[in-house]
Amino acid sequence: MKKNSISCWNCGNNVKNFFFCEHCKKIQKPIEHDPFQLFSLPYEFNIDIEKLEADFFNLQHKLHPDKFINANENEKLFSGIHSGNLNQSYHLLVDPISRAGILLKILINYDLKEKTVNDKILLFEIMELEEEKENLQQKKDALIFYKKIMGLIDDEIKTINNKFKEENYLEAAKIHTKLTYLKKIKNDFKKVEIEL
Amino acid sequence: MSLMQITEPNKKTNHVDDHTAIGIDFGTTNCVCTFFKNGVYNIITDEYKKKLIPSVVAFRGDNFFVGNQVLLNKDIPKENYIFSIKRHLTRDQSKKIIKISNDIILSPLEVSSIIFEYIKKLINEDLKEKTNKCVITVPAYFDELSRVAVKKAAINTGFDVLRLINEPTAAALAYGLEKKVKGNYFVYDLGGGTFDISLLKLSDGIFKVLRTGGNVNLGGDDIDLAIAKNICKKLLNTEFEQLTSKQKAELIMSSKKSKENYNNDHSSNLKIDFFENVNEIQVSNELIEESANDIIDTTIRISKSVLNESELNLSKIDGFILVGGSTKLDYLKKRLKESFEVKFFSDINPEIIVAQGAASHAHALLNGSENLLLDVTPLSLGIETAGGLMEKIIDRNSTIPITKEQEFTTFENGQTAIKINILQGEREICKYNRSLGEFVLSGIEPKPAGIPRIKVRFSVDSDGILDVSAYDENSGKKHIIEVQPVKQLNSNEVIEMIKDSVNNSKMDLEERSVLEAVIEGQRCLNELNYLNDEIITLCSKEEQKKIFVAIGDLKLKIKEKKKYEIKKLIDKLNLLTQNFAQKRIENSIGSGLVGQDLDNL
Repeated sequence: MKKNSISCWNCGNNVKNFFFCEHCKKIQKPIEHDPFQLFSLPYEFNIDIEKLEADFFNLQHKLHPDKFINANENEKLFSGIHSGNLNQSYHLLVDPISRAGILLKILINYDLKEKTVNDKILLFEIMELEEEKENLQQKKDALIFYKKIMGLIDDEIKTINNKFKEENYLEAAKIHTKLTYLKKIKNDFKKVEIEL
Repeated sequence: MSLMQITEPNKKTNHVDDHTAIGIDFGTTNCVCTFFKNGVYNIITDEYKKKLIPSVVAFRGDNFFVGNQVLLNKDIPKENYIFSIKRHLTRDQSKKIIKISNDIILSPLEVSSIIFEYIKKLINEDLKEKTNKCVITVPAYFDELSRVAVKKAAINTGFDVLRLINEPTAAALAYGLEKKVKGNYFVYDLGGGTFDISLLKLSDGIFKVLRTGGNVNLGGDDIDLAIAKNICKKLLNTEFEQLTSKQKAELIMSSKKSKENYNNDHSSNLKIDFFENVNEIQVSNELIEESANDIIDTTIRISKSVLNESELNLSKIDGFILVGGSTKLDYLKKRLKESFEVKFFSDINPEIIVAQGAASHAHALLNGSENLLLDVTPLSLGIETAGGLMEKIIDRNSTIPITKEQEFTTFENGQTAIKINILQGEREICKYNRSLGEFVLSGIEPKPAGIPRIKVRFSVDSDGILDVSAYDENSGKKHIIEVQPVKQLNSNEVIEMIKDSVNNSKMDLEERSVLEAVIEGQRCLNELNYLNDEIITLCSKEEQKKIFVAIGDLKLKIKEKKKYEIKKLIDKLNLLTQNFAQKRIENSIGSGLVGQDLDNL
């Protein structure tokens, strides 16, 4: 990630790199960013997960607090923040549903948390699924239901990918809302079903 | 990417001047200390040339003895032994609960410090080089307060703790480095008093923990106890609880021996001279198997749930690495192999592998390394919100270090202070989780409910230790607090926490939805209360009547905790006040205009 010129806390030279000073090689003070910027990714839904993982490990190799045991307190602090940002950003990007959410926030300032859902058709669909989940009796049915939810999630992810490609963000936001519900059903279901 | 080419500033290319740091496995039953120097692992031995240092302390007069000094000294009565102190670290770290004599009562933290003191002496004698730098391993499932306690016990004796790492992660590190394995591996770690299961992804020098689970109060000690109880019931025709504490101690020691002999014989003869009229009994393999089954079943259940949550199939698992002294029991291996049809690895001594991993990490930290270790936090962290609900801020199994912020707001109009209760656990309702500490954020500017923006920041560092701070976005007021082991812990709560969370999540969800409705209703009432005067001025008599009747109904339903009715009434009130809201906006624009200079508009 590139940033507008800021001077290095250590040597005072202008720094363009986000993580390290080009001159004295010292770790830099973290600045505001979004997960896409952190990994130098374009604002697109479709990303190369393998490359993301490789970049993540590569950056952690350089920034993780384990690599700064002998450094001064400033550097230790910066390393902890950078490393934490990487962890959080990586996990947000790996999950397609959270990735879509971040993208919508960046592109059209859409935040599901601040909205009430008025889409009656969607709410009806979700209520039906919830009811179906409540009425599950047998392990066999539970498995079928789980597969159904997973199938729905997969389908919607394909659709949302197309909507992002078409730059139809409002439609993408609608699908994202649905995906968020589906994910919640899936997680609730898992919590209840796991036999400890 | 240009930044990828920049070399890491602290990496040394020159490995000649190795700095030595010790890896310490501070176990429930035994401690092992290892250091890595000039390419080889060295295990520190005690004055009896033994590598396993029993985690036992005993007092005689004013003198204390540690490890084999205790076990090999026949003059110290067994009932004076202080065993398994690590188990108490999860509970009452700083509470004076261990009575040595009439004058001396110690806390688990102090007893742990005695063991660290002894270890430090051994290290200094063995190493002939002064170092106080170490990496200490802790059970992955250890909670916040227990981690702080272990670190504190070591620091109190002069150790410089470079890092706390999780035991299964240390084992995977040792295993991965030595055997150069790649893929997804389970590390099954059953020690004397704790059980951990971690799922790791191993690839070129990267050790990433995917998920972890466990039970901090389950271990080989429990198998010994179960054997002792079964011996009483089946062979001695008596109740274990009726034995004297001396008999109990003797019988548990004998049971441990019979468990260790399991692998050799079909049945073992056990000498017991402390029980009247009985000199020798025969402990069959069946009795041992039966006694161990419950504990093994529990570990299998936990392992399966970790696998389930990971969204990986058993087919994607490349192997099971067995760690901890208790995995030496052949029967346990047999049971695991039946449940998980994958490859099993136990070819590095399961009793020393954890210390070996810690030593290699200690060396890597001081001297630089190509490897990267990414661990997770075992339990969710969050705070208490209105109505006694836990709002999770950091989910369990998040890769550490991690920092997360969450915004909170006030619940009452004009509220100027917020009490923040920090919680750890998986349940929806606060009281079922454990409180790590409380602090008060005061000096919030009085505003209507819901307007102030309070940001709470949770940071878990690479040791898995939490730091919480909170600030008011408007006033900039900041409070930083450190979570200290002040509150008493109940380890039984930890053990049962996730289990309970799963068993009760259905109930919790129901309870939560009721609480949420109540809160929502209360908020609606607060708002309307705040607008009371305006309602009277702006609404027609008929509108007023409808609104106030609905408010009365809502108050009643909140009291009765009827969530559906509450929701209906909130909707109804929203509808009834639509007209009012419109008038209010018009009015406020109007009143805003009154008295303003035309030029200012």
